Amino acid sequence: MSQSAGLSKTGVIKKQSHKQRQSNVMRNIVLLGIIVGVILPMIPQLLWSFSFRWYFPSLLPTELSSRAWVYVANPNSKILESFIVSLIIALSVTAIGIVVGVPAGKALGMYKFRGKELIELIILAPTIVPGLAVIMGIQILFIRFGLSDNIVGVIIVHLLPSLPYMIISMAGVFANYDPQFEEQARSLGANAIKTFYYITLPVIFPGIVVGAMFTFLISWSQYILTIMVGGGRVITLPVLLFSFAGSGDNAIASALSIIFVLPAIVILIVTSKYLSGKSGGMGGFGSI
Amino acid sequence: MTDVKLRNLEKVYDGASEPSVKNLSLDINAGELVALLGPSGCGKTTTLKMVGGLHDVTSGEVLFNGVRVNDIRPEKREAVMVYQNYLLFPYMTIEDNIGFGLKMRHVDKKEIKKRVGEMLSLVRLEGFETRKPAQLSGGQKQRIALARALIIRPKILLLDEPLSNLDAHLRDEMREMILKIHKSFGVTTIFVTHDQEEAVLLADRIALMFNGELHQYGSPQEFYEKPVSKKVAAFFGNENFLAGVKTGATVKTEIGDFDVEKSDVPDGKVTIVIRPESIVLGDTGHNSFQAPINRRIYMGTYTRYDVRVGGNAWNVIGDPNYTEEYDEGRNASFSLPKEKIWILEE
Amino acid sequence: MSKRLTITLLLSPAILIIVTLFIGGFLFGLFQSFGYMPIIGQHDMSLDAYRNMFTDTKFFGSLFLTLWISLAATILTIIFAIITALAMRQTFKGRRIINFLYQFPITIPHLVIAVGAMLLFSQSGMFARIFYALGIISDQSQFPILVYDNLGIGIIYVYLWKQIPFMGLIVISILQSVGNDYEELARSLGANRWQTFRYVLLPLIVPGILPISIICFAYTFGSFEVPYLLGKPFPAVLSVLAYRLFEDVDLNARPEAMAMAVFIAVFISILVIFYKKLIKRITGRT
Repeated sequence: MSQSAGLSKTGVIKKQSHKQRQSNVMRNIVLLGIIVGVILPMIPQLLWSFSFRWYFPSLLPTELSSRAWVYVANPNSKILESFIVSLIIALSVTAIGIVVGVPAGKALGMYKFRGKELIELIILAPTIVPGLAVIMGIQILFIRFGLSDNIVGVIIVHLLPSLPYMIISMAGVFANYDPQFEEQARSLGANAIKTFYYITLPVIFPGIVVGAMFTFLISWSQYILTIMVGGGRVITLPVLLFSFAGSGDNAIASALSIIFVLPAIVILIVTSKYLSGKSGGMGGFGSI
Repeated sequence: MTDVKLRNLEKVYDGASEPSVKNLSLDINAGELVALLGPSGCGKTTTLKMVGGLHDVTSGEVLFNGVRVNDIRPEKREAVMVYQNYLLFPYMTIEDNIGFGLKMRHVDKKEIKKRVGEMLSLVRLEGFETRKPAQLSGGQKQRIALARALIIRPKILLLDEPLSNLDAHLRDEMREMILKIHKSFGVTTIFVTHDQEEAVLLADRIALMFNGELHQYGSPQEFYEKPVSKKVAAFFGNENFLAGVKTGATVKTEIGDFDVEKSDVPDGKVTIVIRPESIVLGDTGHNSFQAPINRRIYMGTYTRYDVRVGGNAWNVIGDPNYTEEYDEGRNASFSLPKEKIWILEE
Repeated sequence: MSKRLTITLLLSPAILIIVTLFIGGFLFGLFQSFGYMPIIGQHDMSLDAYRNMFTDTKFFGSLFLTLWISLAATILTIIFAIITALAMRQTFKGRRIINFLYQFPITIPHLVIAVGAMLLFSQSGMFARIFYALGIISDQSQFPILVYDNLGIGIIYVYLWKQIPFMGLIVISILQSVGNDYEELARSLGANRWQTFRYVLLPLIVPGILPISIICFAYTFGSFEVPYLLGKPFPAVLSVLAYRLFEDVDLNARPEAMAMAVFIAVFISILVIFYKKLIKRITGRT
C-alpha cells in the first residue's frame, strides 16, 4: 500500500475531460478580455503624451516630442502646484473621514438601537442623491460664510460624497467584530489603549484601508463640487485636466491624465490585498 | 443494483506536493453499506467526491458494475452526494429542494409533485412542501437532504458525515432512518465519518484510511478483534500493546511468557494486542501476571483501571463493584485468555 | 457611560456633517427653486420654475437620456461583473497579476478613462485609425459615432469600465462565502453546467448584488463629469442641464436650476425606495 507514494510523483497523468477543456477555454477568453479591457483606455494617453503631431490616419505619432511633459514640469503651468493642492485636499478629507467615519461605522456595525434605520438612511443618502443636486442649494451659504473660493470649503464639500463610503466600509468590519475579544483582552490584563492597539485595530484595519482608499479617491477625482465651491480659485488637477480635455490639446490632456493616475496606482498597490475577499474590507458594500 | 470498484485511485490537488489519496483500491458490493473512516484530512471525503465525479481522478479508475466512469460527468453518474451541512438551497421551498433533481431531468411537474409527496412521507415530514429551509431543525434538514438525493433513485448514495452535525438523540433516530432507507431502497451506500462508533453501528464494512492510504477494510468486528496494525487498534480505542518475541505458540515478553493460539504470524518480534474487556482481573491462573494499578475510574456500568504493564499504559475493564484489593497504587493480578490475544508482526 | 450616550457620541460628528450639507443643501435648494432668494431681493414664492421645467421638451429629452444611460450601464455592469467574477474565482496561472489588473479600475478616476474613451472611440481616435489601416473604412467620417453620440455609448463605456470590477469583487466575495459545495451538490443531483448556473449560482449571487446595483444606478444617474466631457450638448443628461442653468449669468435661471436639482434628488430617492421595496419582495419571498 505504501509503494504508491513514489509512483504518484512520476506517474501522474493529467486527464481533462472534453467539457473541462471547453470551460477552461471560455475562462481564458474572459481573462484575456479583462486584461485587454482594463489596459485599453490607458494606451492612447501614453502615446499621446509623447507626441507632437499625430494626424489621422497614422497608427503611431507622426512626430515625437517631450513638449507635453516639459509643460507639465514647468512651474508656470501650475500643474505641479495643482497636484499638491489636490493632494492636500484629498489627504485632509481622508484624515477627517477616518476620524469621523470609524466611530460612526462602529455604532452602525456593532449596536442595535432605535432609529438605526433612519440614521442608515441619512448616511446612505449622499451615495444615492448626487452631490451636485444638494451642493447647488448650499453654495450660497458657503459664499456667505467665506468658505467659497478656498481650500477649507472644498474639503468640507468633498466630505459629503466620500464619508458614506468610509462609514459603510467600517460598519462592514465592525459587524463581523466580536466585542468579546476585547473583554477577553481586558480580563487578561490589557488596558484600553493596548486593547485597541492589539485587538481592535488589527481586525478593523482592512476596513480602514478600504474606506480611506475610497475617501481619498472620491476627493481626488472630484471636479464639479470643487468648481462650485472653489469657484475657479482652488485649482486642483481634475480642474486643469477638464479644461485641457475640452481644449483639444490631446498631448497635454494625456500627460495630465497620467499624472492624475499615479497616486491611484500607488494606492492600489498598497491596498490591493485588502480589496479582495477574505479580509473583509469590501464586506460592507455587499450588505448595504 | 450497482457495485463499485476503485482501482489504484489517486488524487493530487493542483499545487499540492503530496497526493490526498494514494493508490486506493476498494471493492464495494451491490447494496452494501460501507463506511470510509479516518481522521480529518485522511482523504476520505476526497475519495467520496471522486466516486461522485465531483472531483477529477488524477489516476486510477472508478468502476460501476465493471464500467469505467472516470469521464462520466457528475450529473450523469447517478451517484448522489448528501453533504454534512445539508446544503438545502436557501431560496427554494422544501418541495422545490426535493424536486430539484427531477426538474433538472425535465420530469413532468405533476410527476415531481407526486414523488416529492412520497419522499416526504418516507422521511416522515408530510406537509412540509411550502416551508423554507430556514424554518427547519437540523434533523429535519438532514432528512430533506436525504429525500432530495433519493428522489432520483440513484445507483449510489454518498453521505458525507451524515450524523456529525446532529445532537445525540437525533443521531440514533437518523441512524435508524438511514438503515431503514438503505434496506428498502437497496442502494449501494458509501458514507464518510471520523467517528469509529458511527462506522461500527452503521456499516456492513469499514474502510479505514490514514494519510490518503487504506489501512484496513473489513467488518466492524475485524477492526476490534483483528486490527492489522497498532495504529488501527489505537484508532478503535485499544492501546493495550506489549512487545515480545514469538516462538511457536509462545510469546516471550518482559513480564513473562504467554501462550497464544497458532497464527500465520512468523516467529520473531511481535506485539501482543488485547481488548480491555478481554483481560481477566484477579485471575492468577494461566497466562497471568502482576501489575500495579495507577488509577481507578468508576464509569457506572463498569470500572476502568489504568494499569502499568511493562513499559506500557493499559486499560482494563472490570466489574463496577470493586474491592479494596484493587485500590489505586496496589498490585493486582491479571490474566490474558489465550484465544483473545491478537498478535501483530513488528 | 450608557449605551445610548455612547452611540450618540460615536455617530454625532458624521451625522452633523452629512445632515448640514445634505439636508441643509436640499432645503436651501428647495426654497430657491420656489424663487425665494433674499440675497437678490426676491421674497415671493412661486412654482414658476417647476412649471417651466415640466413644459420644456428639452427637459424630458434629458430625463430619458439620463435614464437610458444609467439603466444600460447598470444592467451591463451586472452581467459583466458576474461573467468576470466566475472566471476570476478559480485558481489559475498568473492569478495574482490578473487580480491586480481587475482591481485597477476601482482606483482610476473617471476623468482619465473619459479622456481615454475620447482618444479611442472618436472619429479620429485609435479605433478609427485601426479600421482605416485595415481598409474597413476609407474616411474617418465613416467610423460610427461612439462619443458625443445620441445613445451615450462613450459615457456608458466609461461607467462599465469603472463599475464592473467594483461589482465583480462583491460577486467574488459572495462566491467565496458560498463555496463550491452547492454547485457540486447540484451536479451530483443531475444539473448540468448551465442548469447549475441558472438554478443554483444565480439565485445565490443576485440577492447579494441587488443593493449595490442601486448605488451604481444612482451614481450614473446623477454623475456630471463623464457626460459633460463625452456627451452631446443637446440633449445633455439632467445634471449637466441643471449645472448649465446654475451657471447662467441670468440669475433668473437659478430657480429653474434648483428645481431641476430638487427633481433629481426626489426622483432618484423615489426610484430607490421603490426598488428597495421590490428587492424586499423578491428576496423576502425567496
